[in-house]
Amino acid sequence: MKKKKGYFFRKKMTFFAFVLPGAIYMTVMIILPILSNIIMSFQDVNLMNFASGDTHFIGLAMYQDIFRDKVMWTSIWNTLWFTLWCLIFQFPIGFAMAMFFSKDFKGSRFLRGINVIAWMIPMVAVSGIFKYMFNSDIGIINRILLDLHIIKTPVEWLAHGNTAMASIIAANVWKGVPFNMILLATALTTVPADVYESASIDGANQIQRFFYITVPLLKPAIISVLTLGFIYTFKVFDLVYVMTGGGPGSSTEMLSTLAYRYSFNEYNFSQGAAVANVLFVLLMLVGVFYIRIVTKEDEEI
Amino acid sequence: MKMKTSARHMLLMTAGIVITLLFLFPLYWMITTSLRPPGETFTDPSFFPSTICLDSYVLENEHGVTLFTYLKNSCIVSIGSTLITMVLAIPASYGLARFKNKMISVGLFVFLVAQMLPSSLILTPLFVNFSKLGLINNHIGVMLADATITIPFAVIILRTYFKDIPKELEEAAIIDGCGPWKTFIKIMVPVSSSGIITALSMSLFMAWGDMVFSLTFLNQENMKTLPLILYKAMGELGVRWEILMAYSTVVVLPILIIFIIMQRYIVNGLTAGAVKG
Repeated sequence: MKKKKGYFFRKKMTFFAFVLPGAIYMTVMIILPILSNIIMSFQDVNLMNFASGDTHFIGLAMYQDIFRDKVMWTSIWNTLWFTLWCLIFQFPIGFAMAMFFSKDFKGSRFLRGINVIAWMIPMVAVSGIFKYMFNSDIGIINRILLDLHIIKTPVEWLAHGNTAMASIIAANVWKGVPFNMILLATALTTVPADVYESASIDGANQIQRFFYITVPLLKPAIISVLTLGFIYTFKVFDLVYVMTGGGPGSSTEMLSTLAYRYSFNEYNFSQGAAVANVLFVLLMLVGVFYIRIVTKEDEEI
Repeated sequence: MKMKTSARHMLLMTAGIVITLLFLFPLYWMITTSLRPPGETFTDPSFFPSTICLDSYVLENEHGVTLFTYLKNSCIVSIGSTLITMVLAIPASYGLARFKNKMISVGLFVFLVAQMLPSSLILTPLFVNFSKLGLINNHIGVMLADATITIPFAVIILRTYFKDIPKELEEAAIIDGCGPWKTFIKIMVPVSSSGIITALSMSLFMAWGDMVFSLTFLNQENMKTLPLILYKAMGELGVRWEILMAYSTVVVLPILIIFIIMQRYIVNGLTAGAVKG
């Protein structure tokens, strides 16, 4: 009995030893910076005073400032608009590819895996490649559209607001599709085949089977994919920074790029911090769903 | 009947190959452009380069630095931050998977939130702190910052692996007289090696591809990493697309090779970690 107690005490200590190094890192590198970001957003930290520490608390003035600027509202709208359209395209395309590659043919698994490469490619490279492909003079996209007589003159994709937005959406969708595909494909493997068999005996056609069997059975995976997709897309930075720099004008300015611009181009650190905090709050509105999904599954196990 | 199914198979397989080729066309276009001689991108290039020209890969840029230097920096940063990630994430995820109390729930919550964080949220405080600590223009600063992305990701993946290992395995080891650390290193780590391979590859990929931390913390030319130089080059070289695509190819190729070799592990590991959380 005594021995057992000692074991449990040791077990607790071991647990701390396992988790502590990681916890210290997380505290120093993530939790404290978040707190300091919050504090900073109530101060007036900029390039002139951040080293000397001669900063002052200014209350909510920075938030009033950023929301008075029209570009803040444009960025919020752009971020939502961008995220919405990315999901509208990447989810159905990813779903369709998941359905296709779940069919039983030689090489289906291998080909499906190969397509996942697009998801692994660093965003900066994706941005570079798509910037090249959307180039108005020599880009392959204009060339194909011209050859097919869909357009008569080259489109200056990145020079106009709407087409620039469409271009970054296209690039992000390309990277996002395999993510949707692979998660949904894994979920599809959990659907038992006999459910389909009994449905087809009952006379359900393919479309009915899809909407009345596949979708309801995949609901948890679908919610996961959409929530995670929203989170990853909403915090987009590299893609926009590299492909359009937020332009032309502020037509593709996102919350993340605006925060970066305030902090590191204008060196108004407090202003950047305030925008980043708004981004974080909006992100967490959806994030709580994700956390709930994960922790709920945790309890079930 | 048999003829019919095999024809259907052939058709599906052909369709699958066509979809894959179309989908991955941007990568083909990147690699072939990088091999074109200067200027060919302007003269209506055909599907294949006319000649194979490696100039874009070997020439020094206007800063007198070759791609090799950036490649070396990228290797240092990504391997360094992956090591930090593994050393911290493997024990932490084991702890989070195996012990149950209130603090664990808090810990898990922190990692989940951290996984969602936009880099811009911690970028400004890190920049201010790193400036004070002399970690600007220092690869260690970038490694530490990259690990803020890779550690939460690795923990979430690895925790699922450790949770799926039957508890009896540890109990047997403890009865055999193994202490917790010995059990962990001799049994748990080897058993979950496929998860560790996934987490390791993903950490490597994420750190390798990071632009925002390099952009913010490195401004000395010979310290810069490949993704950063790719971004900078797009502003400086403008229309030299064969060079820009060579830079992109060097960013992409290592990932491509590792991914193709490790495909099975990575795909399985990712889906397990992401779906189950």
